[in-house]
Amino acid sequence: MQSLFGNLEVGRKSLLAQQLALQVASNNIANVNTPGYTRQRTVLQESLPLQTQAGSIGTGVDAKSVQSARDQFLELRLTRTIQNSSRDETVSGYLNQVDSAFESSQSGVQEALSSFFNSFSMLSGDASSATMRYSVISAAESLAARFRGSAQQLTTIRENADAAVTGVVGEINGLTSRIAKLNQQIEEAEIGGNVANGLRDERGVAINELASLVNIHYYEDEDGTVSVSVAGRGLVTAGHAESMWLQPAAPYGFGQVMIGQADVTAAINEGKLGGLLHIRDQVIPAYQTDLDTLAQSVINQVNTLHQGGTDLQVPPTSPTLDFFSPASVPGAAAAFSVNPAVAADTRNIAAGQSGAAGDNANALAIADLANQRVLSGGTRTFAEAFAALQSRIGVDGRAAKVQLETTNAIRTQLQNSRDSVSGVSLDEEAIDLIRFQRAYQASARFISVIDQLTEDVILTIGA
Amino acid sequence: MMDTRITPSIRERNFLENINATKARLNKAQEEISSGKRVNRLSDDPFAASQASRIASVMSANDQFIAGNELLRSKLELTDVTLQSLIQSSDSAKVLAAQALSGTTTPESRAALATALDGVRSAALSSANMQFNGAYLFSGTLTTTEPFVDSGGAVTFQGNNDPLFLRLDRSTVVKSNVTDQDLFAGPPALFSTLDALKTAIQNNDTAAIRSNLSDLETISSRINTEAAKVGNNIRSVDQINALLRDHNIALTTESSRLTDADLVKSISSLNLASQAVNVGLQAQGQIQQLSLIDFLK
Repeated sequence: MQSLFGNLEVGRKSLLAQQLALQVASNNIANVNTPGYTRQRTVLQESLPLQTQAGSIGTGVDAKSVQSARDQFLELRLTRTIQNSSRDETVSGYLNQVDSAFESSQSGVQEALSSFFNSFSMLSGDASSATMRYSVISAAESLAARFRGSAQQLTTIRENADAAVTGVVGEINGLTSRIAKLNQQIEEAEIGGNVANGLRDERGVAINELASLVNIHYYEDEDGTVSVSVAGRGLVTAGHAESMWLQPAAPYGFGQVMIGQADVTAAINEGKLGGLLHIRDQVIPAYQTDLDTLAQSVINQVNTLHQGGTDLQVPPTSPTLDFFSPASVPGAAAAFSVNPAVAADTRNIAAGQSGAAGDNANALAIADLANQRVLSGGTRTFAEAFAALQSRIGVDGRAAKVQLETTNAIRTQLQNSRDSVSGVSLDEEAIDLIRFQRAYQASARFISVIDQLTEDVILTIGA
Repeated sequence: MMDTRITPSIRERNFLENINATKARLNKAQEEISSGKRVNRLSDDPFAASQASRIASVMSANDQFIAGNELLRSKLELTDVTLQSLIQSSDSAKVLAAQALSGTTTPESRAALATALDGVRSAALSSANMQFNGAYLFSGTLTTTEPFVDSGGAVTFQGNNDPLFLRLDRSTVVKSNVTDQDLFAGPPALFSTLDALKTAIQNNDTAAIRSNLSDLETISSRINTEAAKVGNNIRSVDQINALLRDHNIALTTESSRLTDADLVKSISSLNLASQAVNVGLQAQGQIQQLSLIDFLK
């Protein structure tokens, strides 16, 4: 049987519930711009009704809990997309650098190749001319410098990527320790059965940041802690974070990524770290090989022909000197240089084949190399091989850009979807404010009515 | 069905994405206009960029061929002039021989003819030792060795008869020099014929004079043949240079087609993009004010 004072209790519970709901709404509004914040909802539930002869009668409202509006599946997909887009962004950024270094007006290799072979062509016009011989040396020096310059650009970009790897590994360790600490705090906070929404939001932000750095797998345990792993190796388990570290590897001292004693470098293919490793260990080395192959071929072919000629020394140097310092394929571009003995004395250039001062047969043969298809199994001239490298860099750069645009579009879409579920809508909160304010006012009014009734009863009986 | 919730963060993100995309287009259009190029990076159009790179290398090779050919042309012209003067020398010698055969010669007049012949011989010797840019024209590949040396009353040849080939373009190779064998060596050899003619005139040996005169005819026609070949080479050089220049014009057009910006298009996309940025920013400013919060008292 409900009493008047019992009714007061109904009013009190309603006041408390509406007040809590107002607080939650105001907290949502306050966090409208907080990254990773998940909007919260007060879950109201009717109190247990009283069973009377007339039937069951309600006893008011309880604020059951405050829930975060979270879609686990969306969050997971978003994490994965963040990994992709951050990798693509890194790759695209570095390819841009390579692109501008190898753009024709910048690299100059193509031009220098032409000038070099043309200088031999000019020398063939007057093989005894010291001036023409000097032009050959100067064109050769410039060709060597262009190759070295391009090789240096690639090395620098590769070293920059390596330095960035070190930085990113540091960031990853910072984030995993933070996640481990948040795990602890969440576990402690939730012992009483509460949900630590704020801490979970913060941990979510940290996980997304971590995902932007490296491809992670994570799942939530029953105790509310999150386990994070990379390539099957645990990085965070409850309150413990395992460090990621770099082990320098020959020949360049570039670090292999280690977790414990396991080398996980090959398994890291997403996130900023994945992008950096891709650039450092695959993309740039492939370009270096192409450039070195071209450089070595130029050196080798010119040397072979040069050795078949005769220089202007009396008697002619035997065997004829190398024109370029010989080099093997790896590092050929970086080591590209004119044989110092030839550079020092232009008479050492073997323009002829007979020893006669005006004999130009060898100069002609060397000049003709420019048109010979000596590379890629006899299908490409030097100029075509370099254009092919440029094309390869251009195609890679373009593909990375397109890829980045696509993943960014997906990322935006998923972020929007996530916000649609979890983000704060000010309109909605404004309506909640009105709703709960009105409910609060009505409850207060109800209490005042009961108060009036009680007063009536007391006065009537007392009279 | 529930409507999609649109939160301020979604609106702002979409706005930023769109305005950034538009600004990227604006930037691209600006870059095209300021550089005049559609392809400023390899990745802008990898195919066009690498084609342009190959074209540039071919054009540079063509330019070099043209420069080399200009030099060769000067050398060939000098060779031609020299051959003409050799023909003149030979003609003068023939005139002197004819005078010696006129039947009215005296020892004095024969001595005068012999002296005149010395002059012809030394002019021919000087032509035979002609240099271009310090290199002897007629010494084969021994271009730094003086080819014809007058020692002990006879001219000996110090050079060789090796040909000097030159590449006029990718496919054409010509012999750029005329050798002793082609011009002087004979038989009959120019200088020994001149020497024999002098002796015959001095000795009034009409039979020998006649035979030398006929040798000179042979020599003249030999030099004429070589001069015609040189003339042909000059024409080849001119033709090939004209072709190379035409080729470069075609390549320039092709390269420009591949990489140059279509300015009209670039400017119109610049206008479109900048309008889009303006309109977008204005719209965002207005949308920002649309929130229920603003309407509550």
